[in-house]
Amino acid sequence: MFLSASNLRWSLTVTAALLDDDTDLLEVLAELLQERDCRCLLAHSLEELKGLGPEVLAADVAVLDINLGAGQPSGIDAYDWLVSQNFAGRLLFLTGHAHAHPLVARAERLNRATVLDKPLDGEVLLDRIMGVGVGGGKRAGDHVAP
Amino acid sequence: MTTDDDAEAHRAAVVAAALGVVGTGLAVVGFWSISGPHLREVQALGILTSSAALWILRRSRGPKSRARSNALFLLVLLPTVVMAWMVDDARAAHSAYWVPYEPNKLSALTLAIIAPPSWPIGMIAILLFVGTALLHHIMLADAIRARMSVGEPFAIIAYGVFALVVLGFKQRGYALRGELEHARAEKVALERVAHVSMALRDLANTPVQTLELVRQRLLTDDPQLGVQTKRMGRALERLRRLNDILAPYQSAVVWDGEGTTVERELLSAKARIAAPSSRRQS
Repeated sequence: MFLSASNLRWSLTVTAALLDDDTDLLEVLAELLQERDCRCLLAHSLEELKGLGPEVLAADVAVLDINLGAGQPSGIDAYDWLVSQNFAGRLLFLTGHAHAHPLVARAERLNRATVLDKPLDGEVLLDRIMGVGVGGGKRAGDHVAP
Repeated sequence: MTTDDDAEAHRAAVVAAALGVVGTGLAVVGFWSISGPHLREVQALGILTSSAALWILRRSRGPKSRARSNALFLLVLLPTVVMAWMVDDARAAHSAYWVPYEPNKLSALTLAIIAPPSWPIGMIAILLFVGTALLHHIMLADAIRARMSVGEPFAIIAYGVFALVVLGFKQRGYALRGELEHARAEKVALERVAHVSMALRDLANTPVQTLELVRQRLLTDDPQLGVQTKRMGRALERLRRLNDILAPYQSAVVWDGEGTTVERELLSAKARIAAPSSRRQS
């Protein structure tokens, strides 16, 4: 139900594109965001993200898991694709990996992205996604740890 | 004592035996005109001993025996010591004027350079040549000593001292190499622990995040559910603190792709953990 464009309610204030290969995390995060009147577009892979169509590019925020599994395009690839498609929303990386991991290190160098470390307090994570208290929504090279 | 030290002791014995064959061969030619049957017998024995030692060392397979290598290292020196003594006697008998103990001096310095990783073996080898030269010097008649070049026995003593200094550097080099190998082994072990720690941390974080969000989802006005979610929250907080314990290890991790054994093992382990679940996990 999250993916369907027919579910679009114009009263919603924020649209979030969520990319993570963990289905449980993806669904519970979407449920919590929906309770805050956030519309969610879910994808497990870059391919699925691209398949969601122009709605993704119009989203207010994209939450990208950095590591999407061995041999799969990473969240960095998703970031590159979104930027290449002139995505104007906020970009958040979500990762459970160490800062020293090459993909995380790359993500931290990207100008438009904020890196959020798993596990974050639920309220803090939801606030970051909804753009509460982030001063305009984009903080280059920002890093939020638990 | 390491396997490398065993290999070094083996190499030292091989070099000593090879030099024994070559050196004695040159002495046979060089001193042919002044040598008698006894000297030639000792020379033959020297070549035979060194050749036999060389054969034993070259045919050995598998782990090297340090004790056997050191024993052969010293064994091949014995005929050379006797030969050096007899050569000096022959030169004293056939020359009006000569420089004594040349084979002893050359041997002392050479042994300091090729010595195995063992202070006692190196010192015994050097003192064998210097000591016998000094003993010979004492035993020579005054008339013979008067015909040798000036400076003895201080020249052979100086050679001995210098040889011991060179031996000291050689042994220090072995010790440093051992320390470096030890440090390298520790680094490799630490990296391995760090990789495993990081893998555990990475594997734990996604489920912990999911549980934290589930806890958020369960927060309702129901007082009983509230108690449970608070307990869950405290347990999650403790799990989050695991990160603080594991975090310092990340600096020891050298990320060089998926090429190392540890990284391949960890990828395999992660795949095994993810496999039973129909739900995908980062």
